[in-house]
Amino acid sequence: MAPLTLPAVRAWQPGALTGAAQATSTTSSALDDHMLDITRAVNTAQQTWLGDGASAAYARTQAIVTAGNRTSTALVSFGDVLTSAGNDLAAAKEAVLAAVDAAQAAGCQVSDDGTVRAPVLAAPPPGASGEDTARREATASSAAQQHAAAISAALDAAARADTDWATKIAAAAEEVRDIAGRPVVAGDTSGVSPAMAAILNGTGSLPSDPQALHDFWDDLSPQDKEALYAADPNLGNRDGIPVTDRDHVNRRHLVDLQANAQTTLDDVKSQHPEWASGPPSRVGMSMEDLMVQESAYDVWHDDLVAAQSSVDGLNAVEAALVPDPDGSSPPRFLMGVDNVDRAIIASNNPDLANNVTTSVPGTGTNLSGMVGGVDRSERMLDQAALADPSAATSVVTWFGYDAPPELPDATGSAYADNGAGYLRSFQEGLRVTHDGAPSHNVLLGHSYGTTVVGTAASGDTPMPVDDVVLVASPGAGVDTIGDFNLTGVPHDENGSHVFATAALGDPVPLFGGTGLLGPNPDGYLFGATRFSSDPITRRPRTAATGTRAAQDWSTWGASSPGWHPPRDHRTPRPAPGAAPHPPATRGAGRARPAVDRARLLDSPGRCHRGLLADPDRRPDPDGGASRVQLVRPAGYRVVGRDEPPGAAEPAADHDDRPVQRRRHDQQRTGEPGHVEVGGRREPPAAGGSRRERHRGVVGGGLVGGHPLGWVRGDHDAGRIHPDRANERAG
Amino acid sequence: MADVLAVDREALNTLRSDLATTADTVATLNGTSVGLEQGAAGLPGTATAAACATAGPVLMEGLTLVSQRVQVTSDAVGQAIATYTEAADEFARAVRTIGI
Repeated sequence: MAPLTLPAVRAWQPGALTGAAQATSTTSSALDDHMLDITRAVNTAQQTWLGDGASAAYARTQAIVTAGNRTSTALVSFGDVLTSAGNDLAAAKEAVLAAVDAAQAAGCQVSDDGTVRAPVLAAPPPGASGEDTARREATASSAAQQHAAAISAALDAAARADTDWATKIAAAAEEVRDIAGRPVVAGDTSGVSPAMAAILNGTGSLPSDPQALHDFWDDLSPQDKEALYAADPNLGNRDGIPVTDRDHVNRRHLVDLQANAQTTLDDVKSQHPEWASGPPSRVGMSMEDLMVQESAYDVWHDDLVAAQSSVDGLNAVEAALVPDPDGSSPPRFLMGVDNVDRAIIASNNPDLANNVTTSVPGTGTNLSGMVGGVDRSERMLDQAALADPSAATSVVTWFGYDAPPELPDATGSAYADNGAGYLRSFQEGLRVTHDGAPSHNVLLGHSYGTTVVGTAASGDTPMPVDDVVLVASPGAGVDTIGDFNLTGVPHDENGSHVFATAALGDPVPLFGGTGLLGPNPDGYLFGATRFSSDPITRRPRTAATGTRAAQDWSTWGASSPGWHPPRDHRTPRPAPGAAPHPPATRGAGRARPAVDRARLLDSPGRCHRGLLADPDRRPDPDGGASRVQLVRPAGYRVVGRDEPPGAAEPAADHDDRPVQRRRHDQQRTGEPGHVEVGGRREPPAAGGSRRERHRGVVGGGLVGGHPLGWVRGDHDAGRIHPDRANERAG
Repeated sequence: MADVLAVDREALNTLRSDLATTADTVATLNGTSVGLEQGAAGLPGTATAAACATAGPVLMEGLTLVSQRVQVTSDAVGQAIATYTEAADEFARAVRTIGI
């Protein structure tokens, strides 16, 4: 290979490798889909096809599916190599160009091969001695040599990166071919690494710490990963696994979960088809028989509602992943999903973004609202793209905890305490899987989500995020601003990293007055940096605004019209695949600061709804009735579109099925929102029947210390129990 | 014989069809190859570009192996369907002959 030259490096377009990685992902998904079709077809055939031929066909197709899945996993790994190669080569190119720019800025001339000539010195001032002139020339020459050395080093590094990645790409491609061609027997785990074999036979365990898991994962072969997934379909929920791999296995897991949920629903319906149209007749029944029947119906109806809720929730997750028909949506990644009403979807890949915001919703959240949740997140992306088109931003819709089902349930900290551990682990995972320079990470909580955020971001262990945004908080689970503990942020500077807002007329922040969840962080005395939202206004129900649910959100959804700018058809979306997205909140990435914080603070900002953004952006030329001055002079300008409050919220967010379900629970326990599990009072899981929750079978996570299959970073959460390998949730 | 008659040949046909479609489609999943060609074009003269150019055909080779394996199974299922059909037809003829 000829030595690298500057023109050659300038011509590099490493982003093309990212396109190749996306094509690989598409191929992998297509392969997955076909394997799924085959699995379904053979399962259907097996219902009537018996005997040796059928057994042979089943074994054969299972082997095909196993090989196909392994190949698909190998393709994902290949795509990861391409992505990393693109990032590394882009960084190498930047380093070379930066060195050249520095040399030229110093007046040096840089040749194509990287050699540097010292600047031509101006004529010496009158009276300058020969010694002075010689000193000036020596200084210039020395500087030129230093620049030459820097350019040479950058070119060498670029050449090394090129060679290294060429080797890795070739090896990854060979691995795909080898795995595709390797004979496979259904259920065969031969060929896995000794470490993986130990895990599969129960003598070893996966690391539970995200960093340790990430290190471990990096060394796994596609066969290892596939074997692990076969043993534990909840694998993709583990923090520390790269986003593309989580997405890959979770999409497959989602299909299984949907099938299981549908089977459960069908089973429940088949138990009492005569009750499909409503409660049974009471005519002519004795009181005793009536009580028995009512009790049986009640139990059956509970199960029916729960089963239907589970099916609908998982279907909503699937719908939220579907790209917009016009191709304008960003890539979406399923970072988590289970059968107890939890899922996590990232819009744009957090591992590759400069700015990552995790959006934590509040009371009443359930999977049936996932489409609306992702839509809100992507409105933030739209606004971020306007604020800084040069940065890549990802927003994560984090439905990763059991949210309080109704307002009375949100008066205690149990749900926040429960969710905080998952949120912390998730943030740690984001940090360790991120490619390149650390991203600017923001935690954004809404309503009770702020309580979860505050609980997670306080305590002895620093939360690895840069900023926290609290919207319409009933109390953030902390007493003072000083209780926050963010990595790298001194406690006395928390006020510059914690932001709060609440809409005028929103009753939820008034709850802070009770002190049950801590004071209102939007209060003057709390110490957060405050920004304003549009006031709450109640609107009549119309065809344009949708259902009552939208109206209710505007009343109880707490400032949501202000902080979730509605998607506006006038707001251009970034082109698909176009990386740049600005920070979703403050606009400052570690690697690429987009906002001069001091200027922001000094700016007598005008405000309209939306996201904190670049102070240099012009204000909305349309003006807007809802623009108000910032709450305090040293505030932040907020960008967004002015829309009637509440218009943005989809009715799906207020699906009432789980509420019905939970009402049943509450009525039966006499204590809202809690169930007894093993003598402990816990918030209820959002899915599964109450009886199942008591039995502790819901979730069925095989790997991990948590019964729901979501792993917290503690104890020996990674142990796999081979005797439970096929256990599924009820 | 009851087992043979009970076989839902329509379901088997679906299985065979899915297998055949998979075999055809997988063999033509060349999106990655195209992407790699574009990737190589974006890095002219580099070792990475050369590796990308080589990787495309290697990947296609792997996918072709998967496709071939699926095709063989599809053919086998097709033969099974033919056998079951033949057996069922023969049984039906026998029934008519005996006059049950």
